[in-house]
Amino acid sequence: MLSDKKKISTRQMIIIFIVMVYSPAIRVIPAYTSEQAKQAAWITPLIAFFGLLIIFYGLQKTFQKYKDASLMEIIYDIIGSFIGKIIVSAYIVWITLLAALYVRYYSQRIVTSIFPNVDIRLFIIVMLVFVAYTSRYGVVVLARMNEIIFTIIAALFGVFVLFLSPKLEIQNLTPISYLDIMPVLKGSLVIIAVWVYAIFLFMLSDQINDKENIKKFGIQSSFFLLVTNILIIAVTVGTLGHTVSARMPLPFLSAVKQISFLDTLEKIESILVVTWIASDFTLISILLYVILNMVKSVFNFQDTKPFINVLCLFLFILSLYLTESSFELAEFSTKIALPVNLILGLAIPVLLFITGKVRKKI
Amino acid sequence: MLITFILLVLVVSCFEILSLVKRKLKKELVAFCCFSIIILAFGYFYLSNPFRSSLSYIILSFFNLV
Repeated sequence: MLSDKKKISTRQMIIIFIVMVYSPAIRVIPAYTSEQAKQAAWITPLIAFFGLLIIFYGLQKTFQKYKDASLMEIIYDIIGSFIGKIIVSAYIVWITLLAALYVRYYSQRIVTSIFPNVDIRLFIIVMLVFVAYTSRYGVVVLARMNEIIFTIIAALFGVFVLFLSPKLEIQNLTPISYLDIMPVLKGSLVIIAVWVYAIFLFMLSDQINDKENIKKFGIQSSFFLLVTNILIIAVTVGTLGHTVSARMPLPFLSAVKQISFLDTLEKIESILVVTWIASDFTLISILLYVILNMVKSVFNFQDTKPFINVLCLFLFILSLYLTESSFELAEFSTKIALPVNLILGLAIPVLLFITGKVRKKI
Repeated sequence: MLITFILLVLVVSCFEILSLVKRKLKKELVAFCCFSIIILAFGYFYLSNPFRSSLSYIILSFFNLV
């Protein structure tokens, strides 16, 4: 068991969760929700909000019984070690693919938005070297670093929303009627598919202290994410309209490009890209930790630090091999990543929770 | 690129293998060697022809989603 000094608090883990979902929230949520729910897209986080509350409720209930166990150990206890290890192996494969996917998203976005003539491999190498270097110092260092990243991202996001609000047109966000119920439900799926990363994150639960506070910080973060996601969608769709938002690869970036204050403050989209990179760094680093922690659990290893560098080399090749173009990346994201995230992040955990309840383990 | 990648994997592997041998972590050592070989093979597979069909294309085609 790890000593308390080598563990992070639930609050820090929740902050990591908020920062890690910021990048996918900005990249995919405005485009997908406005395609599905059109002018009612800004309501979609409300449905996902209840989904997130259920996830945190389930986690709280689970960890009331298993205080110092990791989520993997809980899975082994509920359904047996053999089947449990098969399920955890499936998670390892998927989260590795997800990490490679995010490495690719990050680099593709920089090439698309700022440096169109630069070799994509350069950005991938820079990110992976940085991730490999910081990962050696453990999750505590990442959590502390992330608290600073969170403050900066939150402040800058507030500035973007503030400057975009005068450009927001209410007719782009209305009318709303009962006809929007189904599109809103469909649109909320993508948000839930991103927010289920909370489950992946709690694969590190053996490295978290004070898990009795999951409910408290979970509810706070759910409200925070509800408000920020409504704002992201509202300022994007409100500024560009749902038709343009749905067709653009990076609609929030396009909205931020329109910011102009007294003809002096302009072209601040590069600051947005910086916040994206910071969020991607947290996301990729934490997914790396999750993969290593699961590998440690499946193979009963004492230490997985030696695997960090080779795993980063593997992610480098996998991120290049994953897709050829941004079109393929988008197709893979919506047609494969979204449903698999829902299955592994929501369906399987719910089934395991019900099995645990039936077998009186939880 | 292929040679650079192979050299990089070999250098990193040697460094980590030495540390694993020193710490007598046998199980980790075996797994690490297997993983390094897989990475070398995968790297060779991709870098020998970077223009082959991508993984996402293969997965999307498998599920008839292209």
